[in-house]
Amino acid sequence: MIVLIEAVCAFFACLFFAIIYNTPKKELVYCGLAGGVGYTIFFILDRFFSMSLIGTFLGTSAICIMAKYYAASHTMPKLLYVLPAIYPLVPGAGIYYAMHDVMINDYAAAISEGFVAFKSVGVVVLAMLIILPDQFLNFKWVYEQNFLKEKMQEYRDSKNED
Amino acid sequence: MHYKKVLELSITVGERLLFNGCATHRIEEQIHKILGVCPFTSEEVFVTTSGIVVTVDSPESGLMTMVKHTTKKGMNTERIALIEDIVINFTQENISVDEALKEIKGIADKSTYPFYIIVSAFALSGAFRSFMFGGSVYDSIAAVIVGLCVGITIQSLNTQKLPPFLVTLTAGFMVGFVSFLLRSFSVGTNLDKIIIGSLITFAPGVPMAHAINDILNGEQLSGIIRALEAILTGIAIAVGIAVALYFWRFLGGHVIE
Repeated sequence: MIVLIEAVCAFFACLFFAIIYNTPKKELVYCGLAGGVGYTIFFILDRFFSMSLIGTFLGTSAICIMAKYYAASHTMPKLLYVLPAIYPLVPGAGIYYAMHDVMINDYAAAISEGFVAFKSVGVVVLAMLIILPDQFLNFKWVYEQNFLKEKMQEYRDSKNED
Repeated sequence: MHYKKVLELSITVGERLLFNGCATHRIEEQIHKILGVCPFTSEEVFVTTSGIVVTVDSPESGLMTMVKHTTKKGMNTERIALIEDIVINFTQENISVDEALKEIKGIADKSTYPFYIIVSAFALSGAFRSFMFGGSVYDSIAAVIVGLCVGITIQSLNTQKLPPFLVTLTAGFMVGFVSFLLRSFSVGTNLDKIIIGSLITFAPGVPMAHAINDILNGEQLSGIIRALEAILTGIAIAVGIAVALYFWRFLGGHVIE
């Protein structure tokens, strides 16, 4: 139950965050979907197995794979889906706690919080770096199918005009 | 062949992409795509987050260089998608150079969402995020109010020509002050959940990931510029909240955790 609530919250959080990045209206739902799936994987692994770094890695990987699929099928840049969707996974809270510790002169806690946050950003980027390149898993067949469909449509249109 | 026009088009495309927050290696790809239309013997493209240099050479055109410097930046993924569409159309020779230039200049004035939708996006995104951190429903309601103030502040200050550091500082101050105010009227129960939820919409988590991604992709210079921007944003938020805290104490209020 709690997983479902968190997933729905992550979906809407990503959807509204995508509006701040001026994502086209048609793609908003897909940004939310990718973010929801990624955060749910992270949440399950973090809460029930207490593997937060592995959870972050797998969640980001799932986001990247979904982003690549959507990018191929909608012919859009990949980062359009990735950036709003990793928003629940990057450690904004950790950075805030580090800043708060600096404010109350607790420098040891600030450094440890800051390094935990930096580690999780590093894992997110590592996953992006491994999964995002076009050389593999690029869903070329989806792109080609779409391309063929468009060509068929054009052919039919030209026939109708004749 | 309109060598000069093609060069102008490539640098305009690069500038618009940079302005809308595209990654630099992606911009270099797009510029090389456009320059591939003409038979240049050599083409050098150098893109950082603050400027673009393109140099081309061929026997017909002679040596040509163009430099463009950009300072203000935003984030608009719809415009990036539209510009990349135009580039594809141009390289497949569906449209001419002049048409492409005209279309790209038309995109500059196109705004995706009206003011009130972006402001409410700030509010609602913060509310869901604060709920995800384990806040109660009342915390989310407080985060909506704080998020509305933050959204109005950021959106209205961004249209003025203020330095980004000052905009973020003001936004951080608004977050701190409005949260303290709401907490003292006992709207919401956990102060830190309200603050985190509404702060995180402009906290530099995603820019930081973007920056490290750039560095690891071999774009050290622009990655470091982006990382510096992210760190400055973080410092601005911290200073803003600290100012709000001291101001609140100066007014005689108590901070209830």
